[in-house]
Amino acid sequence: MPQLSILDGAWLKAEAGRVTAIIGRNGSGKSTLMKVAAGQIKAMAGITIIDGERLHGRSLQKRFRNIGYLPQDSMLPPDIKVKRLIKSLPDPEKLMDDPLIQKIRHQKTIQLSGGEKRYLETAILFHLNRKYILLDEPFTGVEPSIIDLLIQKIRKEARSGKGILLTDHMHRYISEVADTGYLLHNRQCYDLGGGFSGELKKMGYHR
Amino acid sequence: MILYLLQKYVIHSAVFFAALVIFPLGFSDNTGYVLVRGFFFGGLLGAGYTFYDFRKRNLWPLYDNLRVPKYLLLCLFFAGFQSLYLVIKPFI
Repeated sequence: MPQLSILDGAWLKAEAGRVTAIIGRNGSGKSTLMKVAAGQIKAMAGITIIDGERLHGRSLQKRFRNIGYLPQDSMLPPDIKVKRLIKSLPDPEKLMDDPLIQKIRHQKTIQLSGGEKRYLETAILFHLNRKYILLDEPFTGVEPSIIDLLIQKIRKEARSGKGILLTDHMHRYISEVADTGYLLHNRQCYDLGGGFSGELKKMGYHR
Repeated sequence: MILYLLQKYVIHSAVFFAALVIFPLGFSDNTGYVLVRGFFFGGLLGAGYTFYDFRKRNLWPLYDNLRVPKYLLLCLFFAGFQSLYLVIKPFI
């Protein structure tokens, strides 16, 4: 059976209260690394450590006590109303107060634009009040005004002590919001440190 | 979201149940046996198809985020589907 090695010895550290970015070309393994961290796929080797707790398998119940995960593709059922979806969450009134969500609450999720869907998903994750949030391409296909709202939300949550790990191809926004970053290249993670916008320019990731 | 999962499970299981019961009933005089078999395999295929369908549509991450135990729920729905036979048994 043919095999493809996507990551090999890659590691990274996301800290509470900080926004950590993963940068990389298409197919470099960013989403795979996110999926491994969120227990969506099992790595052939390696572990996830969340606040000292070592998780070897997928351990979904244990992982999701501490993390929220936004996958690259929408995770919302298409044939359900936003209001019904939000009512299934704990303390739904708080989320209903959000101005954008108030506007879309009577619509079915299939009727939402890509940006509205992404905003709703991110708002749900932040509402769940987990210590670490993993965001896989939260800005892709989203209009700039909603991206600004998302950036505000991400900053606010990081200030409140949550650890955010995000990846996206919108490097301008990523370098604006992230405190520290890693470059995923040749199946390995390279620590870029803080203020990595200049580094990315030098490497040709953005102009 | 549990109700949404239940709704989909019931629809899928009902389709499999109908397919497994309607045709064999025409060739068998043992209605009870056909129904029991229909509920068992209908429920089982319904659970399998619901799992596959949710995975294909990328819905499981939402359930993981909400910490809804998907495997346990599908098992409970399957058991509940079997108990429907007890409900209709007095009428056959």
